[in-house]
Amino acid sequence: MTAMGELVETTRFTDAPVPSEHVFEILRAGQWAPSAGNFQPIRYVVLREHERLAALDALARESAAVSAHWFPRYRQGAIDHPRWADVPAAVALIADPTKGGPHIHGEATHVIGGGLAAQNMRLMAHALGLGTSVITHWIEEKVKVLIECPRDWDLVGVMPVGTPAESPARQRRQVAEVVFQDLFGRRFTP
Amino acid sequence: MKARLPSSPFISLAATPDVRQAILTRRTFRTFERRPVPADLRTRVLDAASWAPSAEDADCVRFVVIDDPVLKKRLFALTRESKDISNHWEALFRSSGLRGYVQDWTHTPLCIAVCVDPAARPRHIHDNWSHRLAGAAASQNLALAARYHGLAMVMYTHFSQEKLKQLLDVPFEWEVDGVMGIGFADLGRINLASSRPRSSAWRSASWCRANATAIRRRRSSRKSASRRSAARRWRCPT
Repeated sequence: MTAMGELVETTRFTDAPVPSEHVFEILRAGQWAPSAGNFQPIRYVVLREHERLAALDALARESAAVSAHWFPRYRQGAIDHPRWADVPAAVALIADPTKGGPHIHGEATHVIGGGLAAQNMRLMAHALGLGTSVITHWIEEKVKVLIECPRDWDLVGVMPVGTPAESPARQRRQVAEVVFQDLFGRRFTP
Repeated sequence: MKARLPSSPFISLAATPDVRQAILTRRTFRTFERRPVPADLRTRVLDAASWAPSAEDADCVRFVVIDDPVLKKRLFALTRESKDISNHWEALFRSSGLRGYVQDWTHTPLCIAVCVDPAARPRHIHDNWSHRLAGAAASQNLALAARYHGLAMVMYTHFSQEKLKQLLDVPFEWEVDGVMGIGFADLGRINLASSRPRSSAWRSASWCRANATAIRRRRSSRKSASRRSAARRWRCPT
């Protein structure tokens, strides 16, 4: 479980290829994540062809250019993206909104299912010596066209998979700062 | 003791066993033994949750541990009320319906609400889910850490959002991803017949065709797993 503390969002990768069996293990880890009512709303699209990854790279730059209209930090380019054309593999997570919870406050449950799967995939990738992250900064419709995703589905994010080129140290708040007792804001006593 | 994993020619020994075991053997439990979760395990699962990643380390997740019996009772009542509201549109949530069960928080040893702050997420186009994904990562860390320490967890999201926020005094702008119930699984009350096998979630990639045999084998092995052997697997020390 130390993996949870060591886990970093990786966006810089070496050129080392990712074996198919490792991709299989990562996908299986995602598939075993829980979901509301076990409706299993997530599907995974694996991208390994260079042309498709290059198209994703172009989309990343286009997405950053649109965001830059409101958020100046993206004038530097797609700073939160990896170089998609060079990543060994990528997995797009898409969620079926009809398989979320059909109840009040159920509008996000299918995407939360994607978040749960992504965390399993991050941990499995880390255990295999690989790195990944969830990139959500996209013109959603254009990614959906690229992977031929049904129109009414939601794109959760695209996860690059590869061998990390860097391993920055993680920082986080103390548990006492993020955990409250009974009411929000009340000091927690373990 | 070795955990039984779904059979696959691609099981690799390269992975660290504890993470693999927790991921592949975790399952949801809704009924728990009455004994409380020891203090050191409470700290450990919360520690794991606090390490969950978020977009650009946005620090947008907080946890509310609900121990107060009065609060738990009100949460229980709210859960029933929320299902009753949903029942207005979906009959499966009525008391006798397929999804009519209500989590009994008064008998759930450890209740943790996962709260997320939409204002803390890094802004860009299509950023509307980022804080939700951070909350989900924290929830999954909780579930895996619970499994690792021999506990079980249920994740519950079916609430009237505003009333839940009011109950826990959560700031107006924040959202609550859900409430997690953690405890020692009551193995006498599990119903494995109701577990649904995983669908083949991946699409048309060429390796999927190459692995068709592995997928078939995994499905058939899961079907033949008996209730008793599954309970034994769950008891495996991690």
